[in-house]
Amino acid sequence: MTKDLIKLKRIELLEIAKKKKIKGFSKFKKAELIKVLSKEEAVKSKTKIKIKQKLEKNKTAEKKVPKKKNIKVLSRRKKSIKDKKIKDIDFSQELVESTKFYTGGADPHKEFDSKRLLEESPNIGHHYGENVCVLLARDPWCVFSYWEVSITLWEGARLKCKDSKYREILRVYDVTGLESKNLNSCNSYFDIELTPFIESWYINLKESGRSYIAEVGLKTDKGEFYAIIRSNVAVTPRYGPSDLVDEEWMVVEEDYWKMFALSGGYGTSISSEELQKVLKKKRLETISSSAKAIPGEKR
Amino acid sequence: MENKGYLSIVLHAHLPYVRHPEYDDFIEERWLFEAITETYLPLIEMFKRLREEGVKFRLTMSVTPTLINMLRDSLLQDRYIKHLDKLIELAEKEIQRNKDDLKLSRLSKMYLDAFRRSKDIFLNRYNKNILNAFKEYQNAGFLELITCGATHGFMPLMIDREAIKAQIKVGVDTYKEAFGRDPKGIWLPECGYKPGVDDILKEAGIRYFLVDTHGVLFAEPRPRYGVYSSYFCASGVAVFGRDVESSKSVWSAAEGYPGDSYYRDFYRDVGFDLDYDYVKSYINSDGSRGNTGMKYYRITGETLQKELYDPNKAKEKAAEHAGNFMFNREKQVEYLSTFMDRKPIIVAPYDAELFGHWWFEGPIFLEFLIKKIHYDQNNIKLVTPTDYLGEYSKNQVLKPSFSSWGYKGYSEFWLNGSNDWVYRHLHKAAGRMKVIAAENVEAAGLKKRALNQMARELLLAQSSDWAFIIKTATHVEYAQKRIKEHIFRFNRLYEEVKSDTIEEIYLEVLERRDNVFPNIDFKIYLESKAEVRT
Repeated sequence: MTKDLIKLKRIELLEIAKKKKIKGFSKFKKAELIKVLSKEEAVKSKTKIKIKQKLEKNKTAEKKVPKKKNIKVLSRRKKSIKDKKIKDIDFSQELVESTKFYTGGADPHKEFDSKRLLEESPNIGHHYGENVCVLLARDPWCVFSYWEVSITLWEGARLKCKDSKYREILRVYDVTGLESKNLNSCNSYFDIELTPFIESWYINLKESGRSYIAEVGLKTDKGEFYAIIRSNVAVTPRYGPSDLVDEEWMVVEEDYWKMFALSGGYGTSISSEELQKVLKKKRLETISSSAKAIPGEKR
Repeated sequence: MENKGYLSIVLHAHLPYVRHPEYDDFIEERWLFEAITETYLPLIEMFKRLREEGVKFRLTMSVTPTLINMLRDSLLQDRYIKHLDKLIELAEKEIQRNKDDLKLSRLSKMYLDAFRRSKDIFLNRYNKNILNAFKEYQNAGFLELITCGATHGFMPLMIDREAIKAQIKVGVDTYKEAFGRDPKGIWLPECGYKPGVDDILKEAGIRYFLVDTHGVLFAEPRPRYGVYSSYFCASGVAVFGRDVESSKSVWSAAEGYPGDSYYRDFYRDVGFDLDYDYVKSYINSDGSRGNTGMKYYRITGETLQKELYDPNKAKEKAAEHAGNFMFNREKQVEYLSTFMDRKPIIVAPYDAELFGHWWFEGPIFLEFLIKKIHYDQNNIKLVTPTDYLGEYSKNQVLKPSFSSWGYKGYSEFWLNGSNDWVYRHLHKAAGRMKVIAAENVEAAGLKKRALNQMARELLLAQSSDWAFIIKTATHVEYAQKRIKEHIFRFNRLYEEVKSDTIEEIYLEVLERRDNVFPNIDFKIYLESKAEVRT
């Protein structure tokens, strides 16, 4: 079957593909058409293995990054570059890296605890009896905060609230570009209502490339906020190209995007407009989890 | 004809410090043994063959400080030989078992030969210390060895400047001990960079580091040449960015070469396939089935009906893929050189263990690639980052972006619901270390030993591997245990030093167990003048 297909011209193959209602066939190269068509045939015939070997040969004739995988993948690959690249965010590198630590079962320690007599892990607890609040930038869209606050400090804040009802709040200040440590002059802030007894939180952000400070405190139903503890400054990276252009190493807009496309493996055929759309889309994928704030581990 | 551009292949050889004298046999020590047999020794053999053939090449390789400490440790060296002896015994048994099946017995023989050869090189040529091999090829001008953070601590998630400084300083010192010179470059653990790290590199005398693609593309101001050139940070330290295309063709499980159906299947191991009683003494010491390293099947396809591995066919494939890789790089530099006013450099960084351990044919692929580059073309030339900086000493100055080479490009893999609990401990310990070091600058005797041991425990707790393993859910309990143990030991010593009640016996036990970095000096945690820039 494959042999017969090889003899045909691309146009003829296209016609067959059309008849067989194969998706997206019009952009396929000859070898790809042969692959798709012979696969179709192979499902019916028993010569599957032979054809497969033939296909391997076709692939090499093509002098391209070898493609294995089935028709589905192939047709997905042939969609626009943009779609392909966006799907690239996956764990493949982590999967490969994790094989360094692979010795067999899923978790040898778990499964074979009874046989493997390991010393018990010491208990290190969660607290150091101190007052601390730390803010860590995780990525352009997320900062993580953990804290430890003594009962005395909580009580002090509760007293300030007097008879008003209050809630535990994590207040996040945008302090980008701020010189002073006075939070009254911050650019903006927002509040996250905390689940009681929680001592860490993932804070999702709308804008990248900003600086933040967080405060844990109590907020009354009248709107007064009594801070208990303040964090360090966390700086998130800017997502996307810089607005600054170096005079000495001038790069015009168009050239920048050309280099960008090449550096990012987007090839040479993608325009700067398209590329910026890709970045935007990719950004959605890079965004950490849901749009809501996620509590950290409960203690 | 002159070349149009450069290719810089960077291999990152790393394993966390795993050494348990308190057990006769420890499963996780196999990580090292497998890496030696399947990656480090095949690479060393490749260097030798290439040199003998007169093929000139330039490769960059990081050998991390923890790996250096394990490779020169006599307990682990002897255990490795024991491990090899078991494998040789198994392979001999396998030849017997398969004697009526020509194809299978040939494969058994292939492994027997490989194990025997490993033993010969390890024992006879390098006297159990293969660091000497890397040193030898660096001195002969083929390899450029670079260093790494002491225990592969992920720097973007460290708060104290001193914590980062200690990782780098110990990395540099360990390198000097092992290779007898100063390291020019560093592999930042997980390629994790945040602004300010380069200042600390500068202080430590490092000339360059690598970041992922977006570390350069999102740098400020806009980079003139994408990732295809070197740049300088304001500190004067150079930075190189990773090329996506060359990276993906090797890394990607779906599109990359290693997924080819003729290559050996990593997961089908006789440790799982054969009768339990027969393989029992060659698998995990706790009795669980595990890898032995003897694998008879090829990837075949997405099927459980795997076909037998054919080494010759696989070798052909590796040659073909090497040709393809070279062809694509040539096209890349040809195209780039049409509009770049300097020769482009393509930086292709990989985990060293990917070659050989995960991708069995990886080392032959590399060998074919290096030979093809040497014999078959003139467009690209292999260089190290230092070579490139030698040619281009004037570079654009920019501020790289906070980035890592991990999932989604930042810190998520090391900071998520599964592992975020570790940071409050790591930060606390680093904060304590910094203060107690400053309070005891003059410490001597027992106290000094305790402080040095605290530095070791802190560094060991900081390995990014633990958070990584917890996230990937492979040896979770072990990883958690390691963090907890090091933090616990650190805190106990801290209290003892504070209250001047150091228990010598306890300290001695720790010094024997966690014996990494024998020459460490706790004073690396003293504050330096410069403030951390974030």
